[in-house]
Amino acid sequence: MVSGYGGEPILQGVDIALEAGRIGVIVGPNGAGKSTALKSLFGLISLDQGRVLFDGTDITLVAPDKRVGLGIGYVPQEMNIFPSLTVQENLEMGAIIRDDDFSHVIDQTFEIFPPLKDKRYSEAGQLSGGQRQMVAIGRALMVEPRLLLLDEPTVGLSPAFVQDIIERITSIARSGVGILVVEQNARRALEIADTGFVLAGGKNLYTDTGENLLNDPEVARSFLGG
Amino acid sequence: MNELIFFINKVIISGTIIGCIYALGAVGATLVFGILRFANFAHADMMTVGAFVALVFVSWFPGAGSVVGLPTGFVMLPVAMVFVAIMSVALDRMFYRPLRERNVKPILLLVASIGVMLMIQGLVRLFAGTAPRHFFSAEKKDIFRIELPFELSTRDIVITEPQILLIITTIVCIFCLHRFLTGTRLGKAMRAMSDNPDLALITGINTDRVVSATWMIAGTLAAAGGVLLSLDVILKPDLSFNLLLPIFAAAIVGGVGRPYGAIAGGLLVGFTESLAIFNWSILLRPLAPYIPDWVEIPSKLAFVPTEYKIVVPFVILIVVLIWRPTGIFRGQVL
Ligand SMILES: Nc1ncnc2c1ncn2[C@@H]1O[C@H](COP(=O)(O)OP(=O)(O)OP(=O)(O)O)[C@@H](O)[C@H]1O
Ligand SMILES: [Mg+2]
Repeated sequence: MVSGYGGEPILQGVDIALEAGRIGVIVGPNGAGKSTALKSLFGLISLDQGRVLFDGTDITLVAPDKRVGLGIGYVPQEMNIFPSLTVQENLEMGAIIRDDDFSHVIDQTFEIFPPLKDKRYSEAGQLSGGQRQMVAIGRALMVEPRLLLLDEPTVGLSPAFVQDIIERITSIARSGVGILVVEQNARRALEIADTGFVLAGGKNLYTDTGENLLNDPEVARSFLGG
Repeated sequence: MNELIFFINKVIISGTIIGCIYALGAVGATLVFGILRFANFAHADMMTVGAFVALVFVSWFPGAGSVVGLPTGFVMLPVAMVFVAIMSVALDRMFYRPLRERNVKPILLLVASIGVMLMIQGLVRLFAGTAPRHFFSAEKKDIFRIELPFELSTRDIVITEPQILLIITTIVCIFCLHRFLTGTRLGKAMRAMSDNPDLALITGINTDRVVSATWMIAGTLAAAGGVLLSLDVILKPDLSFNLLLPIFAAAIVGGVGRPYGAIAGGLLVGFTESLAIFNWSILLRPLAPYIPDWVEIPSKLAFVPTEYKIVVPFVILIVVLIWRPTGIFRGQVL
């Protein structure tokens, strides 16, 4: 993918491929273009060059809200909830494109994120940072996506919460959802990654299994803090 | 005792009445702001249009009210509501949507709404002239007098039929709005879009539908406010002039984009206005024997002379925003 926000492209040729039901982790320094890569995959910014394939179909020109219908969920890095709606209503909004009965999906979401169940009638904006991230992920899960794009779901969370969210991401993936997650806690995230992508300066630097990246001394020195 | 009744009539009843009107206007203005991010200056004129539509239908079907035993103007309320709802959506399609599609800044939409405001004002004068009109030229206005069982009271609490209908209708409207916003998917989508428009879009919320629904609700409530106000007082083409400022004060005071805040704001502005122009010297009169002779009670002792009533919303706006910069219900940051 080559894309940007008008002017010089930010992504100067980024390749991301993920098999169904696997976890892909994108790491890299601030400003590397990680969020831009997710936005490009979801269609929020259009590509100057390159294509986006989902299940073998070319969806490069499909609008983002239509990609939700195809089974792609996206959780932005910031402002990813409806703060004055209750937790329950946030989840309902996630299912707004569904015409069938989705109550079982709400129950499943509460199973993945038990803390939300007690808070289901509280305003989402009143929750703690970690709970808000759970609402944000839960909202995206409501369409029962086959691919989930998560932009820094653990940003600003205390280490215990980070571990918590990462564990839940693994359990979501185990239920068959492919997950592509951008993470600052690179070491932790790569431990659960089937594939890791190291981006810098709008390019792929390394692409390998999570384990190999963790054991690569080059990667460790430059991107994992020694 | 009479003094107290005077207070009830002049402050409690008047304040509730005008507060309901402001609330009906402010809710629509705040919803439009929440979804479209601009202050719709033509909002008060949608209220005028509602009133005139009702008036026209009253002149066509003058006997409609006597059939059901209500004022004919009130019977025409649903017609006016539907008319203004459709008109609001039509105005959006004609003037605001083309601008939105060009991704203009919200300030441009505001300027467009000033244009729409002037256009509506011109059209109303063109078709209806500038003379004040009365809903009760052919019918009698029922007046209820409630006697209080106190020996000292000789005056009654006075409330008219239109005023009672106004209070009931406002409560019904607000109840329906509440059910809509919290109980239906479209209503929740409306709140979601007002909360976070970008997320609403990528969640798959049909934003076009939400925008149309917002205009319809705003138009419906505006028409209700306009008709009910002119049933209570008199209908002049410049009705909107005295409504615009208090309505926006109410919306801002309540927290921009917060419908319940707008209701609270409307009542607050209405009551404060009534209190400010109330002649307090009447309440002091019973105390006259205890006040030394050299203190003369002025015959008129109001915080604000009636002619300057319009400053009241300004003062409330300033006071509330100092205390709570985003309004009582913590609205959007302007
Ligand atoms: N909306 C935007 N308009 C213009 N430029 C942008 C926009 N968003 C990001 N950029 C630029 O794109 C580059 C990459 O930003 P991006 O958000 O993709 O980085 P990131 O890897 O997600 O960083 P972080 O770890 O801080 O989230 C940055 O140089 C940034 O200035
Ligand atoms: Mg980012």
